[in-house]
Amino acid sequence: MTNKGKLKQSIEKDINKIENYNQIIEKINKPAFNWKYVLVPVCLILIVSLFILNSNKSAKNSLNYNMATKLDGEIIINEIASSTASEMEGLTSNEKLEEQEIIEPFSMNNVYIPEDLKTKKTYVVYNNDNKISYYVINYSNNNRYLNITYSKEKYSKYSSMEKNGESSFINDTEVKIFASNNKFITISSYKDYNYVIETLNLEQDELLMFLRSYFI
Amino acid sequence: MASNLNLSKFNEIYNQTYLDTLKYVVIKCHNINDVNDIMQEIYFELWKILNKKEITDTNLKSFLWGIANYKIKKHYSLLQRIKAISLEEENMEGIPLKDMVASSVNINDLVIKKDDWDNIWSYLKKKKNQDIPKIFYLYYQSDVSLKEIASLLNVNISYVKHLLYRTLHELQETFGKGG
Repeated sequence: MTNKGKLKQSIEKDINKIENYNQIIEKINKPAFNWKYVLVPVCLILIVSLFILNSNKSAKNSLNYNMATKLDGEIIINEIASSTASEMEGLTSNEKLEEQEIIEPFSMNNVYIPEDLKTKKTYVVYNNDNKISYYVINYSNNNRYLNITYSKEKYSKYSSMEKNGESSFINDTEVKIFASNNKFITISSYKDYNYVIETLNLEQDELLMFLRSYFI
Repeated sequence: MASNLNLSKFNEIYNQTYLDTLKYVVIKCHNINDVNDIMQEIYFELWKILNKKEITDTNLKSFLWGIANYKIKKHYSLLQRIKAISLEEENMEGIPLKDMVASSVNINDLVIKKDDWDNIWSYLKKKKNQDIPKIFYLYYQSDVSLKEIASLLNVNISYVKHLLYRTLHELQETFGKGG
């Protein structure tokens, strides 16, 4: 056998496909974590946290923010009232939308988009002075969509919401994720662009997979 | 125990994607000694997602690479990531061409004292400059060209050649007859 063959053999012995597979199967078959031993202390911590957060809250503002729920380790989902989410929808009175081809800031080739969102459209939003406010990439099907809105300037409509939301980090990019019923709104800045990513009827996993593959 | 249907789908995906995912992890990891752990974490995460929802084949690669990016970032503390931006002498990208090893070396021409390639691979993996084992893995294990390795590691090709040939010389001196 050649030296190259011998080196390959050593590498395969070290980074071994079957051995890795066996380790994964062992993890899969491990008995599920027994929650009963942590449920009581976790509940106590949650109750105390709720109490502390509520007692620190200032007078209610018109946007009705609720407590942020920490999920999935590092990811924080800020719950907002459905009225707030509805207010954020659609264009303001001094905006107009035109379907146009746009130059996307980054290639979408390796970005995760849910398979069923087959329809892709791109738009430009203009203000009353006919200047470009922002761009929109929309993926949709009948009752689900993913909107990627981006511009060099921050979108002022979301500034209050963004100020009050708690941050998460996706691959070192700071994001603020808001949720209401069947919608997610994610606000972030990444490589010179400001983003607002809106989804309808996407699961949290799908949103996170998209964010992790986009903000790399 | 894992349900048979999901396990069969998982096995299919694992076999289909293992090599590409491994290559991606080798390129992106900070230390090649972590590759096994990271690969296990990636596919365990895939298993968890597979149990929650259907995954189609067309976006499988980007889906897995999304998980890979997340797991790699999570695997390393901020301190480790800062350290990986190397200012040490082993990282010699951009050194003048005249200082490069003049002649290329063929690995098959090395005369190794003991046929101990397991030790040689361990030696390579312990290098301070982790580009070295990455280059050896990509060049000899994955049969990637030097030009493509340079592009994947985001370095110039002379750097790749220098590390490869210099290390081959070093292996000859350390493990070869008379070494």
